[in-house]
Amino acid sequence: MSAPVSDEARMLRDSAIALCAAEFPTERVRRMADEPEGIAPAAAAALAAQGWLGILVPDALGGLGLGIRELGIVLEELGRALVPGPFWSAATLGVPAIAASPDPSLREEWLEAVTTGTRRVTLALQEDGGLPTPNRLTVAAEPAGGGRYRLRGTKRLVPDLVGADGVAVVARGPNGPLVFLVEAAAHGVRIEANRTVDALSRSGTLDLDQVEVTDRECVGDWGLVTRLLHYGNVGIAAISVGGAQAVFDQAIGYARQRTQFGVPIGTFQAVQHPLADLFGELESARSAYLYAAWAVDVGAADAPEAVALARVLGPATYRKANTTSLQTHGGIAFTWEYDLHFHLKRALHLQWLLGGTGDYEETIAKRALGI
Amino acid sequence: MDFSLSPAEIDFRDDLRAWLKTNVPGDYGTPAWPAPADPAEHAATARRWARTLHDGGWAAVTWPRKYGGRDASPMEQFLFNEEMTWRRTPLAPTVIGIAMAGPVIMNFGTPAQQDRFVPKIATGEEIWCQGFSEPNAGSDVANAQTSAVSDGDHFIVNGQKIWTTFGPLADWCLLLVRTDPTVAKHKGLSYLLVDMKSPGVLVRPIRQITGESEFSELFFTDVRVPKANLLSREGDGWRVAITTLMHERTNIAALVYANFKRELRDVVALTKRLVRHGRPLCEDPVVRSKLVQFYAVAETMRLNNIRMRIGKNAADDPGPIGSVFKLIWATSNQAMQGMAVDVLGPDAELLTGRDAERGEHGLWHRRYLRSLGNSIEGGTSEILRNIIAERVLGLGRTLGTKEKNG
Repeated sequence: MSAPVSDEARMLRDSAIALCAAEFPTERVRRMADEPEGIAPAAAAALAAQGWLGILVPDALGGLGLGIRELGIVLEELGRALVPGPFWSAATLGVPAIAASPDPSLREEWLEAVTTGTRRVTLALQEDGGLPTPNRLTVAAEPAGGGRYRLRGTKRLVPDLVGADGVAVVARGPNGPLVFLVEAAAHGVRIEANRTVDALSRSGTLDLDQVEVTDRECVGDWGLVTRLLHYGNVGIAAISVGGAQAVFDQAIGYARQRTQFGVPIGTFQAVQHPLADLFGELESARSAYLYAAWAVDVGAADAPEAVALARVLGPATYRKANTTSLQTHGGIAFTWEYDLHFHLKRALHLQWLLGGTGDYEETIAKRALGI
Repeated sequence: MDFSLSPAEIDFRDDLRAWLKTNVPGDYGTPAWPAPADPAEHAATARRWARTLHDGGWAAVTWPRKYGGRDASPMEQFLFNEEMTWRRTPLAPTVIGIAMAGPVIMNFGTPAQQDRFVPKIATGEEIWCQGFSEPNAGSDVANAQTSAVSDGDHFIVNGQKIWTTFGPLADWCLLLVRTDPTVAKHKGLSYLLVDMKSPGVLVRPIRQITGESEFSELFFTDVRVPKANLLSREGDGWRVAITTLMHERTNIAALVYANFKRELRDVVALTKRLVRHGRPLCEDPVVRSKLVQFYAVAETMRLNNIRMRIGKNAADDPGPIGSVFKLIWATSNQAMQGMAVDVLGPDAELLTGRDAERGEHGLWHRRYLRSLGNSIEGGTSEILRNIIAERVLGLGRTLGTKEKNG
């Protein structure tokens, strides 16, 4: 076993902290709720300029050639600072989807643009009824001869759909699932924006009406979907752990400073004990996330259940940290002016990204418990 | 972070597995290696097992080699506990000696005390017990009132201890006593090594709600203890006691995890065996969701253990994460054992009769009832939360315990 923190990891964390302090103080993040993509364009450009969109892209393709452990460090800090916008979906889903393309001309056209942030791609996976399995996809890619296909159907809850230049659409092909890159501006594509309870997150509904694609736009099969789900879910866990730490720290700080009956409220056992329990739960969620990131990077045999566990515990612990923090604060945290509710809504949003908790509990039941 | 085992750790585990294969007759409590019903025979089996461990060099893996140990790292200690638990080996009665008495005597003992006591712990020749808690010093253990009064080169000890594991078996006791009743409570304590065969020592087993007796009361009436058996100096008893508990903490983190995981497997097997409405109970969505939650506890306890142990030596402080294991385990084990008796329903309570087989003759009820002690033994959950809040989260001392701690 090796030391918990490498120099490289420390440098990444320091850069992320510095960027968040410079570009994403909470009072500015709040104002980004009115932006179409949930983030101010200048802040999005500053984030892209760090080069982190290319963390998962292999060296040979001009990326940083690092793993989800390194990207996780960045996402933890972005989660802690409540950074809005499409960085997560671009870095863990869109960019790796493009990098996976076997077609050099498609990579030539897209890869540099998506790793530098001048163009953006997201993943359209979910349909009615939650996370689809390979044989339950309703969106179809119908062969139209000569390596051409027509895509037809509806994808729901597509993360960060508004403003995306391309969408990696998971569709039922003639011999199993295929992933096609579809341009947002292509004929037959209709995008509907969802406003959600979380004012800082975006999703959308994607209607595909006989959208023409070719073999060239096919970037992968279900193996790619599995890999993207691993990246995306570890990313969700990282954001959750970072966010949970932030609201936990706020609760501790408030309990030390707020006095009632002449003493800090943090000296009351009734206030202390839920926070002590939360400390244990937060460290457990962090362990699950760190292990999943390692398991994905090394290709461990138990990676699917490790990712599922991190995905189940991350947002659930983030949500619990929020409700405990809210109660520790009392009335002040129930006001719109206080920032805490943005974290609570982020946690609720994350619980339903890339499927729901129940989907991942089933993965654990089947793979880890054999039931 | 890198979670892979090092080549040395893999070798350690392979050696242990190979040794277990040739030296363990089968899982304890099965026909291949039955657990005797008679307490005296049970004790004899436990002592034999301790001796077998010692002869194989596996009695005290974290100890230095000169005392029969292997200088095992905290990670290797973890692997050791996992393997022993999967093989369902009996709890060796040497455990208090190895996890607490030996390390604390190595920390604070004079060379003469170390030479006298430490070698006989690993061999199992001398079994140790611990006398900290008293009827009026439970969570507030620093309030211990058992007195030790100076009389020439001896102390005269009077008082009562409670919740002592291995009391009837023990040859020696780690005894927390009050040598100075005039100073602040933490400052008046001292730490004695007491021969349990001394005149005036009485051991009385406590019958617990499961019907079994794992713990005893100890009564001390004018017991003469040589001053040569004072560990560290007079008045330093609280510091020595805290160090003793710290030694226990790392070991407990591994033990509670491994036991919880093994019993989760039993519960999963139970839900596969039980049929309701024509389907195995494990297909019920509520049952599945609960089992997954218990799996999450088992797996995160494993990973928390690894995070706590990576890159550490046996003497290092386990750090903040080390404080949460017992708390999480107690709550989760009670919930899991409670679920087992709930899914069994009325069959769980049957001790005799032809239907008693279905609930394994009260096994599940016994486990459930036993789990209710988990949040009391070794520090109540309330005290553990106080400690986390105060020491880890820096929330300040809880109202009501102020001023008393020195």
